[in-house]
Amino acid sequence: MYACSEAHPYIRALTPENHKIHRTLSVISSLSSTSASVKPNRTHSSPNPFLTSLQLQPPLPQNLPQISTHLLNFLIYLQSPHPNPIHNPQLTLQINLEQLKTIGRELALGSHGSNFSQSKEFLDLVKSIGEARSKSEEDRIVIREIETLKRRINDPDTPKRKMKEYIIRLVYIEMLGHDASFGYIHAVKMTHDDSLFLKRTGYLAVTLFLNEDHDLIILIVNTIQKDLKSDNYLVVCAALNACCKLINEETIPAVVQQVVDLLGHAKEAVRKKAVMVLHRFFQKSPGSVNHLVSNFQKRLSDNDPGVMGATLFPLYDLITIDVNPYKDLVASFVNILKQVAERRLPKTYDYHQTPAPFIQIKLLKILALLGSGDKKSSEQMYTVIGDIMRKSDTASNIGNAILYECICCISSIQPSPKLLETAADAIANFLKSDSHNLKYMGIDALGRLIQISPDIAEQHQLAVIDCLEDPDDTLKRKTFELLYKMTKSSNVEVIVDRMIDYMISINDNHYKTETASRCVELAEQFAPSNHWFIQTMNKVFQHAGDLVNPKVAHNLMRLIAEGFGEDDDTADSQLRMSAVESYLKIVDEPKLPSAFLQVICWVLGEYGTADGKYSASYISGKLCDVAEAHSSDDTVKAYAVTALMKVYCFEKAAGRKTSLLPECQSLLEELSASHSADLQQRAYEFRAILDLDANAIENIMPLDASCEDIEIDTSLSFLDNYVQKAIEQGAEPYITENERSGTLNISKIRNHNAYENSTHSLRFEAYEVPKPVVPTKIPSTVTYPTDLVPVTATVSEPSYQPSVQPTWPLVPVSDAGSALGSTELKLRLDGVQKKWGKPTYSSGASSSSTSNFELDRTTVNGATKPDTAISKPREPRQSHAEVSEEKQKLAASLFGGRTSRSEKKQSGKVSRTTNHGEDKVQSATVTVPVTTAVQAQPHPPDLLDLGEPVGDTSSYSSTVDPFKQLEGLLDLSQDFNATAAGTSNGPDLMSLYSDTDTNGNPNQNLNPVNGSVNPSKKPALLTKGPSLKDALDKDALVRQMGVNPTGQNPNLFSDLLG
Amino acid sequence: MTAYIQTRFLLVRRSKQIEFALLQEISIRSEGEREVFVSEAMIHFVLLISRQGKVRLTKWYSPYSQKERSKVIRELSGMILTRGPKLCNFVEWRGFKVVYKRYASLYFCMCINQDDNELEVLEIIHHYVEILDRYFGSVCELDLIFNFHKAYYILDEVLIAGELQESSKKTVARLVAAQDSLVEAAKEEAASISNIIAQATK
Repeated sequence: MYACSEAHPYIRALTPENHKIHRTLSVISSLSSTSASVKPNRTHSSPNPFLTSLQLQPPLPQNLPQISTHLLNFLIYLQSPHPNPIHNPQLTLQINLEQLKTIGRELALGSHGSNFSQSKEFLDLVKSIGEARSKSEEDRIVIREIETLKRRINDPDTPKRKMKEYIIRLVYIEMLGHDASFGYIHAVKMTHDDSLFLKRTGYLAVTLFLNEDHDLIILIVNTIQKDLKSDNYLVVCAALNACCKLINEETIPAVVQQVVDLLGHAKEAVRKKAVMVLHRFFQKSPGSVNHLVSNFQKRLSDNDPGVMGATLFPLYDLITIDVNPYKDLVASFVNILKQVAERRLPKTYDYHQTPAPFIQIKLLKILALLGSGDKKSSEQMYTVIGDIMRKSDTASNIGNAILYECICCISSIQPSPKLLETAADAIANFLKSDSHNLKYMGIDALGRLIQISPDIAEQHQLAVIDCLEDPDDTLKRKTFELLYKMTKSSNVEVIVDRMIDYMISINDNHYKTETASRCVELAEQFAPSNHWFIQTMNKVFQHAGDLVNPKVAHNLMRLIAEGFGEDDDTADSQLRMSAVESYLKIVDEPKLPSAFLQVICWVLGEYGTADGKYSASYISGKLCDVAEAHSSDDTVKAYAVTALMKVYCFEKAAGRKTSLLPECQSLLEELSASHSADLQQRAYEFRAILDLDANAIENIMPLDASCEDIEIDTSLSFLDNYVQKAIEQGAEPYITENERSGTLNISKIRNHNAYENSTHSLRFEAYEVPKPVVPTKIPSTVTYPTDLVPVTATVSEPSYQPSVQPTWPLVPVSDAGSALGSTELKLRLDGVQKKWGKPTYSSGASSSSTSNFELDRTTVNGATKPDTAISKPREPRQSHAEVSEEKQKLAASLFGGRTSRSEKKQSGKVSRTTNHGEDKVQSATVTVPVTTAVQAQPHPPDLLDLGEPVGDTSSYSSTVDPFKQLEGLLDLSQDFNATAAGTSNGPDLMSLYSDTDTNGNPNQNLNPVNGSVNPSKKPALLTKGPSLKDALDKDALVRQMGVNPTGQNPNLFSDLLG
Repeated sequence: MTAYIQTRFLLVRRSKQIEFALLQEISIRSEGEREVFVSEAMIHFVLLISRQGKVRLTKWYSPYSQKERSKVIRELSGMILTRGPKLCNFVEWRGFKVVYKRYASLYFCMCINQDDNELEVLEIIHHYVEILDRYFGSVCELDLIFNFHKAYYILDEVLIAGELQESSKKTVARLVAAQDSLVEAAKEEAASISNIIAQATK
């Protein structure tokens, strides 16, 4: 029946389905209107027989098929290229023009046999929104609609059918981004309805409206439970669809058993959906369905390929989590894949003549997981993967999708040299392709493959550079990802420079951040020189600003402070000086990001005056400027004032006479009255410290000591004498926190009042030593009112907050923030990595630094990074011409020649220009695979993906429905019969149509997979194809809807599938 | 006492570094907001946008609030509609990838994870469009505007929970047709449920 209705749109109109009647009729109305305008005044005496019959039969619903037949025949008669000279239909038409129009419209918009089950009102709404000129106009219309719906939907007398339409209207306004929550409850109610007709709408609406944590879900669970038990499998399907969206972690247990039972349902559609629902449940809450894992394996051998395909999804998830239990399935998966590739599945699973590609892809993904790092499993797969790659159709998109998946699989499993070679060839084809999509996939695949076979990047260098310079942002970004993966010390400068340029050019914050952190990572790892590193970091900070991870700023400061960790102090001081100089240059620029300013302040404070090149007053003047220019940023100001303090301290400690600059003085005054306690504190400390003598200052602020370990005497040994004295005088010895805490936590709650009392006054009298109490054993009646306070003479306030270490009360309360921070000092620093620096690491330096720093140094100079495993560049390859010199230079600098690298080693700090210079020497020998490739593989024209919209509704030159071609092949005989039946009482033209349809099919199917029509055939199809009618159809529909096709969007009516 | 002061001031200097650490923690927390996706569905959402930026259909498989949805649509239509015809059909966006394809004046967009197969998703889109075409018969944008609920029903048969549930066009078409005929029958209230099933499945 379905095939029959697909056979020909006209025939379809005759089926009881009434699917397209309105269109057929509207064609008439449109035709009549055009002809009326052509010949407005002529009349004719002999009426057309078809028309007579029309007039005789009123448009009653029961006569509908008949009427349509007549209208249809009439229409064909009108369209006939050889109109009967005696009965000119156009003349007759005009008499009954108005009548015809009315019939058409009534049939189309009436409730019977209409394609649109909604009322005129709704159509008008959609239409008016479609015609809205601005967003605000659209909003006004929607708000009016919301008002109407609110009123009507809450009316208890609304009939159910109307209600259904209102719900769909709610979906519509929600889709437009407005809030329809007032109607959610009605959608929920609709799911309770017995008729599937309403239930389906209800379920659709709730799945679109509600997220899984919505309060109304609880009202639906019961309905879902009931529906899962329904006899009607369509109801069950609807309920299962809803399960996916609506059942949350809490409600899974309510339905899971029923869903599991449905795995054995007679209908494959139900089984398939049940598998998918369980898959969803597994994603939401793995624990709830863990015991069902065996069910998935069982379903893998389901008779229906759809169910088998669905089972792959949960299995894929399970295997992702833990590979080992599924190793024994490798053979079955390979077997299934083999069968699929050999076209053992039903033809209906073919997609563009590729056998079940989506199942193949999923299986390949699973095999990639199973074969990863497992030689035995991998070996089982080699043959089938090789077969698939050989068979896959590189001309079609889906064939390439499979190829790409094969490459992913090959790069994931235990490498096989033969497969790697095939994969490399496939990548070469991708990169050579004209299509950006394939280039993108090629770059991605290359990025995967170089992890195991680094050499292959060499062959594609020019293709890669082409992609890098492509105007397509997506492609560019992907290429940067590839470059990031293949960076090594020989090409880091070029790559990072490029990346920074790109970073500056984009606006997307997300990718700016990502690119910035990648630049920093590469710079830290491979930096060839200090100067370059500092410059690079400056650029990154300047342009990416506050998007840079603050960790990076922290790392930079540390790096400058620590140097390379070598014994060579001069290198370190050079680094610092180059940093100071570059910062002094930059600091006056407006709009520097906060994190960068903080780094600048810190470095200027520490090292600004270190080598005596700049005077203290110059540096402090700059620092004051910073504080002034960024008066709204407290953090920067804090950094500035601390830096100032350091500068003056160093001066004073060095015995030089110092006097505060006036602007510094005023800054201090301002900060002393600041709202920020932190700033105030800093200002006061600054003043206090300046009053100390040089000796004390030197102790407090030793020069260049930021890396030195601060030895914090956690035992507070300098207080020992004092404590001793107190104990001698009868004070209670200190009880450690551990001993206290057990008692404390419990009794804190129980004896709150007593506790309060104890805090009111300090008691220095000796109390009993608290017994260490096991918490659970404390009888509730026992109280320890006074024992709680650990009394030592030194502790002036009870330190029973467990979070604060007993040593900290020494720190003044006002500095609690930094004190707290300090307790976490070690923790924090552990997370910070240092990857930069020369590989040689002197252990001597580590002894002076904290253990945290030692940790950082374990990752030195990228040796630990897998990406750097990229092999040495190859010797130059075959020669080729016609590539711009610049590109070759770039290629050479990216992919590097051996000579350039050795050169680099000699000079130490090779600038980019010299690099290029000598690359010119190489340029003659650089491979150029790209230019030749461009013509080598012309991509078949993809007519489905219309570059230009088919705007003109009357242009029917290229509209051929690929479906009809496919369909015709499947059901040729039925097709023909149906067509013949339709033509039996029609005029000649009908058979002409059917002829073209059936005859046309075999021809058209000779064409490439995606059903696109060979351009050379177009002229032949021009007059015959079904497109003329289609175009008229749409045009008529337009008029009928009252939408003006010449309005702002004529494309509304063009076929999506060209 | 000097020991104390020394400790204190060294702490002041050190605390700068700690501030970075704290800042860093904050930034991690704010990054967390972006990770709203609880599940690992392949397709996070499906969008149909016209060339004028009008929304024709939206289906969200991962949780987004209404506000986020509008933002996502705005962002994506800004990115996708401005892209030239020869560029590739993928856009990287917020750490995800959006695969889109233009049919006449309508853009079909699907948002997927970073490591999914874009070409496959492109074909899933095409698969859906072919099914729509088969259902509506030379489907055009107008069909989807006025029958968006039918487009939803069909989508529900093609994708479930963000995964492709059925790769056979015929199976999808049969199921949708069965539902439709059931609806027709329900309208007429003519036959009993069992009859309808018999009719729908023959």
